[in-house]
Amino acid sequence: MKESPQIPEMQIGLPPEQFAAAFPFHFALDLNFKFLQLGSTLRRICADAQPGAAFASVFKSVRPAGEISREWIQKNHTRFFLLEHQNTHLLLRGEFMRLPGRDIWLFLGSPWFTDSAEITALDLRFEDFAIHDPVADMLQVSQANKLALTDAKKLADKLTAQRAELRATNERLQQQEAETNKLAIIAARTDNSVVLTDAKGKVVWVNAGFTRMTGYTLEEMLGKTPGSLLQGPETDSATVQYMHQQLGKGEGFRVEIINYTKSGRKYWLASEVQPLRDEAGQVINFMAIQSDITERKNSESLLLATSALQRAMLEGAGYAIIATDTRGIIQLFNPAAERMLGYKAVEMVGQQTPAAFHLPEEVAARAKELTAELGREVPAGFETFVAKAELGQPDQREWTYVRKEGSHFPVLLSVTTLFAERGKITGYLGVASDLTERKHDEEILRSTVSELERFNRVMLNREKRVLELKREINEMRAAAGQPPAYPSALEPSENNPPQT
Amino acid sequence: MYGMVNKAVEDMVVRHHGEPMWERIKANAGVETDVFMSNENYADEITYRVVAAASRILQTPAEQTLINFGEHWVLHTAQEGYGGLMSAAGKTLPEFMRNLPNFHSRMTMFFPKLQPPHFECTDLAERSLKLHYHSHRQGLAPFVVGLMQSLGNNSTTRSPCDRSPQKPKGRNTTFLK
Repeated sequence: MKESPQIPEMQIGLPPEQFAAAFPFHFALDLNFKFLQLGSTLRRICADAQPGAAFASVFKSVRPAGEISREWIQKNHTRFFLLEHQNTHLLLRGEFMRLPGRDIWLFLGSPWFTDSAEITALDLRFEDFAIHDPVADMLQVSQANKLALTDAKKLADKLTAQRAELRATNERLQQQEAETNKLAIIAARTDNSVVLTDAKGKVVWVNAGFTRMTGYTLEEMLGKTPGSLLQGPETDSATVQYMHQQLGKGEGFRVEIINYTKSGRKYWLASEVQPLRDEAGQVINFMAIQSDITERKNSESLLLATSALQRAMLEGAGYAIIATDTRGIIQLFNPAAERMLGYKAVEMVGQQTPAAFHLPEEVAARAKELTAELGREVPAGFETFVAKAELGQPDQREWTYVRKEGSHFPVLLSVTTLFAERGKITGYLGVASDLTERKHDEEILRSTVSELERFNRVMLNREKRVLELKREINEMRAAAGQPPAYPSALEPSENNPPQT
Repeated sequence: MYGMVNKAVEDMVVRHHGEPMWERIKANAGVETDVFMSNENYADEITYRVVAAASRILQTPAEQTLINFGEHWVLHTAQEGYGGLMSAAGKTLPEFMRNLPNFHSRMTMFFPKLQPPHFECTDLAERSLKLHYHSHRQGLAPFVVGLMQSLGNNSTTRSPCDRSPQKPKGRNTTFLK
């Protein structure tokens, strides 16, 4: 059985000022349900709620719902009431009670807010509430809940983002692992040497290719720097210094260097070294992929020597050596050609054809000759120079070259076809010698012979005259009955044949 | 201190220097908490470490960092979380300060571990008041200076603060004029 509430023994009445301070939102209704008095704060914020105004025109009951009347209040007065001020929509929560022995209904309550912004909107301050009123506390609870919800949402968002990031990271790691597995297989089976060191350059792993190349096993290499075992007397110290410098900076590099196998055999090594970093960017390993390039280096040395010989021949030759591609574009123009023609190689190579220093009329005339000789149309142009050479026939003849400054000089030009493997024509080579001096010598010789002939003729005439004079003397002496003074000049006869 | 304080420091750093800077400061302070919960109580030491790290990394003296933090608290944190309640607490600085003890008292009902400071105003004049600040926490007086400056700017009463720290009878008391 429910225990009956303990009835206070003392009757406590509050003076009006204290009552107003304790219940700033109270109101009292008279017999006709008109306001008798209202709390000061309520009067301030609900301007139409003034003594004498009808309660039903100012407020309506939200809970319980019903038409406000004295009888209805009487019937429901034990219930919790939620009233709404019709103008401001302010909600008042509280209870109705009838003053004992008087026909006055008193409402004790306070506003109900769900957001602290409503307090601001109604221009309310904490001082407008009774200190015992829990409304402000409820607002703080509500606010704290909102903050907690915001925090929870933020946390949930962050966790969701982290989860998505973890999923992405996981996928990335799986891809990386698959990639790593593939790379591991490649590294293990490749012919290249693969070396993995720690950040200080000490070997932590080498592949089988390394062992095949150097003769050193993984166990022999572990914890050592590769250079300490592989470098030797002919290893370039500047390259070694560069490698140390790059490793110290944590940067990758490519070098070609002489190393030595375990058995002491020298070999050339091409090495590409790359740093491997952790997520913070710190170098944790270096990976080197290396290949034996000894054969290539040997070929290069040979090629270098051959090239040097060819270069010396081209540069030292007294002949103009001019090579073209199949279209006639000059590919080589040696120093002798530069001297002879006054063009620089850079002006000619890749830009000009030999037509630049030939006389067009000479080329046209030669084209006509070749057309007749070969029985097919040979156009005047580059083909004129190479038509015979293409047939594998020697083509050596005199041409007139035109210098850059316009003067002419004779040359003897020999054209040869350049063949690649399988007989494919790759271009043409022209070797031209300057005939200017030879022509000059020939001229001198011709002139000397002509002079000698003239002299000879003069001498013959003189001798003929002397003979005639001798004969005249002989005839004069014969007429005087004297023997001839010049028997050798007697007229030819059987006993005196002519002397030559 | 409750998480709301640490969140306020986070908000101040992120607003002015970006999220990566906050993560850097947290790492420097050795704080691993991802999200501070407003209504959760955290060790005071975390807040001190965070403020010290912010001061170091942002190269701002600790005192100025706390003043900035006090201003930020009023301008953003309190406004965004408790703007309506703050307005209800008073339109002028003296009125606000008068209501502050009740505000703190009510707060302790919801946050049982809250150890709020105590404020008392004396010598109220037309354009000045003397604020007595008592706290069991050391070194947060500049934070109160920032709070008061910002409150003054927000209310109808401007409040340039003149601080004269005193420590009568071993209590951490600061007078603000």
